[in-house]
Amino acid sequence: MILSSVIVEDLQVAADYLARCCEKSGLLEMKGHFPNVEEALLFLNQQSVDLLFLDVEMPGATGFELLDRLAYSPKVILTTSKTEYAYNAFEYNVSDFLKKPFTYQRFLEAVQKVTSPSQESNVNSTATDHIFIKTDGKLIRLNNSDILFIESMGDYVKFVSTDKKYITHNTIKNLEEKVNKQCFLKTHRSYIINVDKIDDIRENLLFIKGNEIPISKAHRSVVLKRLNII
Amino acid sequence: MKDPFLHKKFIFNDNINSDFLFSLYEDDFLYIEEIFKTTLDQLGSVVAEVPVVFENKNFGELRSIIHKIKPAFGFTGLLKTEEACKQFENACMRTSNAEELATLYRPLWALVVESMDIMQRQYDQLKEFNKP
Repeated sequence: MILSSVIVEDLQVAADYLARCCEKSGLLEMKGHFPNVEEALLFLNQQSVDLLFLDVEMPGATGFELLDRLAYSPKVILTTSKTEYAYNAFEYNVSDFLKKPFTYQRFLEAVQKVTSPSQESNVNSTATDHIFIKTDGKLIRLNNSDILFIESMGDYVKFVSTDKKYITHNTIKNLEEKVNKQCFLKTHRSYIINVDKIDDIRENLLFIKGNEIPISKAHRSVVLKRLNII
Repeated sequence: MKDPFLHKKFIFNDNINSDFLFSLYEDDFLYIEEIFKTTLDQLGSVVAEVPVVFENKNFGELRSIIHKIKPAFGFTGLLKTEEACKQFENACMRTSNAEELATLYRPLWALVVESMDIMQRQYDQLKEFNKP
């Protein structure tokens, strides 16, 4: 499987070296190199990629800010010269952390983590018709078809179904990885919606059974792409 | 096929860790030349900002620049300079005491200037070595 990938890196020599490693591996299709977050976001919100090689400290905004603002969640390999970012890397669920400069062998290990069958099976595990959520001391099964949308409430999230609301300790960022991507779509940093439940869309708002859901600028193009507009 | 002993024919400067360079680029001297050129092209203007930012006592910006140039020294095998940059970056995060940072800055700046000079000379020699 060839993964489409992008390099976000402000140090030219590091970007060139990385691009060469990608080419040598034969596992990746390089879609572009961007020296800062803004340029990368312009591209990434128009065209989704499978894998991001992401530096952390860049002029303007950090690599973590890019992940916060990106409308979807590609696999991420962080490339930085500062090991102190390892903790944040863990929090952002990145696949690996390459300390610059790294050898080709180390690069290959990182890429293989992303392309290995175990990673694929993690993705497949989200392709189910239900989820279990922990609430009121028990695990409750929610069928995807019953969920209207999921809303962030700080350290908690609210699952809104056709007849009930469930609050559970979790984050939108974490759920984005876990829910079935065929059914659900992130429209805003605080909202994931069930695509089948959309009634209508007006400007930057989306309506589901009378509930107003915002569509952020960063997510708008991805949302529109998912709709069957004729 | 490349001669496996080719690297024996090019002697790197003592300050450059050639084993580390070979671990990254093997014995592809044309590519090593390209690495030095790319690094010099980008680093020249960035390094020139260092004394200006230091004189303005903008230590946040100084840390940021040192952070940026640090791996470039790694990519060119100047590992002691890379380590010195790391130590200074850590000091900038630990303290905002201008006097303390000034004491640490002077030897770092001397090392950076020397390293840039070594990098330039090494690039010139590689260019000569790689001539057909």
